[in-house]
Amino acid sequence: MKAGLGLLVRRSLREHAVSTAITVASVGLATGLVLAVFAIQAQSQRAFSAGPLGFDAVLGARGSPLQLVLNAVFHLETSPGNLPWALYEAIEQHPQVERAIPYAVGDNHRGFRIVGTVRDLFEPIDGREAAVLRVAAGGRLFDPARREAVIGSTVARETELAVGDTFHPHHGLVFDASARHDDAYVVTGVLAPSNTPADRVLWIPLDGVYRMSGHVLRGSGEAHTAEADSTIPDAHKEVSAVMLKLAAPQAGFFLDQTINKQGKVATLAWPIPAIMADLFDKLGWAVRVLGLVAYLVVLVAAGSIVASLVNTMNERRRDFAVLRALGAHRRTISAAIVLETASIGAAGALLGFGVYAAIFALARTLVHDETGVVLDPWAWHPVFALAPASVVLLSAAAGLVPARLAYRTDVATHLAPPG
Amino acid sequence: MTTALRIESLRKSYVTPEGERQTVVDLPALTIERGEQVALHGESGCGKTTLLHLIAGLHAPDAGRIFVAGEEITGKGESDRDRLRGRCVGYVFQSFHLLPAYTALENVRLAMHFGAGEDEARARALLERMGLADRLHYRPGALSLGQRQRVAVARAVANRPALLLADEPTGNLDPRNAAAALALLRETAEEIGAALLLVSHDPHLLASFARCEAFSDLARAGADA
Repeated sequence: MKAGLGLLVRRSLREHAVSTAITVASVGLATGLVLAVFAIQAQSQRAFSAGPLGFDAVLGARGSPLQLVLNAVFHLETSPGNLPWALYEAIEQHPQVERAIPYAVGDNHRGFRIVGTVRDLFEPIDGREAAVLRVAAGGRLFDPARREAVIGSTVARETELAVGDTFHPHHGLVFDASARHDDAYVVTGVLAPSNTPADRVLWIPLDGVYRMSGHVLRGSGEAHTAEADSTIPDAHKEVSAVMLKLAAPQAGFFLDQTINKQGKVATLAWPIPAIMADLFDKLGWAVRVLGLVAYLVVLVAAGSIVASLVNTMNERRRDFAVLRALGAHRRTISAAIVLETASIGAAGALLGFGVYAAIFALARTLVHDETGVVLDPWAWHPVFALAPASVVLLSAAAGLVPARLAYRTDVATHLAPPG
Repeated sequence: MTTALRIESLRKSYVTPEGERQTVVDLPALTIERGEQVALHGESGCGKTTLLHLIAGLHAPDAGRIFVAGEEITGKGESDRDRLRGRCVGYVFQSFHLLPAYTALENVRLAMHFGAGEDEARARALLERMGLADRLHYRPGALSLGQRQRVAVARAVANRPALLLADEPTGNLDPRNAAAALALLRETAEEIGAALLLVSHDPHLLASFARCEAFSDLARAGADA
């Protein structure tokens, strides 16, 4: 082991261990904050902008495309309204539509949404070999003619429902114990975790929603209540949204033109990623404010490095004078200080990744619990390289102030015997 | 015998808080040969320590020339003075001035790093020579005053300097430790063939030197001040 700059830096850090630890902690917190702000924002945007189940568009009642996407894709927000069954049939048979999956919403179980749909939802889509939504071993899909349900993995975990259990839906999207439907549904399957909002949904047959006690259908414009053992006329049926897989990318332009610009009864939310990206763009100011705060915290941390070294400068000056008397150059002493602050920055940057991991884990849990969307902890972002490099450089720059003080240390004054 | 130290017409003055220029060192000539041991005494504040700082290149003189081991230290820039000091001058202080964060061994190795280059075996051997074989990894705070001064001596001779400067090296030690430290310093200087210029007030110590100079006899400053 050579007793050069490295030893000077290590011993100085050890000698001032408490202030070193505090400074490293403050730099670590600042770095972690910067990493979290930028990486989580980018991750969230990516996760929310990707069509989780492989659909390209959502058809829904006339209204906001964003509301439609939030409701049908992310199972957030309320539905903007219903579409008549005839419209679903028309889009389902449209030559430019590869697949159309109807959704009917309006009920919940302990706050988790119940969505009526068809079994095709659970078939592979988008050329994939396996469906995103697959029933885990030991279960099966619901029978469209029976009161059966398959439930998302998060629902199963949170409600402790398992295959064979029954539950009663509650009316509305917000849980109200007094709004319980009499109908009892049997869980026939639990979906394997898909890391999509679908994990937070209880899926039942479309007919189940129509026949739910207390539900009134208004697809024809007149109120209709389904009766047991009788077929529901299509004219009375309605759907909350239709998830669409388009036959080709250009189909979106055509449908957008005919449904959004020329039509007046429905809204086509397309393309889904662009609509979510637009939402994030609108929230961009908040991200910029958070970024500004993070940068300020980094500056404060850099200031704390300066303060910690300047505060201990008096006791260090005698050491600098001794080192000079031993033959050390002024530049060597200054370089040792800059290296020391850069080391503090590097240690803080490393700690910052730990802080980031903790913040990310918390954010991941929150986002997953609230939306079912999973943030990828391993997704690369340039901030992972830029932030540590900037912190080390800034820390080294912060060392220039105490380095300058050390450079100017008068040797004779500090070698004088105590008087 | 080659010359370890040669001083010619050395002059150093300071500006007092009152704004007056006060001459502290005014030394026409001083020569110390290699291996020679010289004691220097004088009143407190007469300029002895300033003279040592000038010789070590820690201060630049107002006028005059200083040659250490044949090299003119006064004609060099600061970096070159640092290099020459690290290589050719060993310094023992009254207050030892060991670096508190470093072990005894590290204190010696650090001096080598800035001087002739690191040699851990020699650093260990020196400390063992000083009777500190079992204290190599002790930090100064864990050593007695006598042990600290022995580490300081080991550090000063680590680079086999041509010139050893000692400023009241026994001033903080009890008589027994003082005698032991002085003996070690002188023996080691002799072993490595270094010249020794030692500043002290201690008459017993001064009496033990064959060459003992009074600062006032050497300098013109005493008369001027």
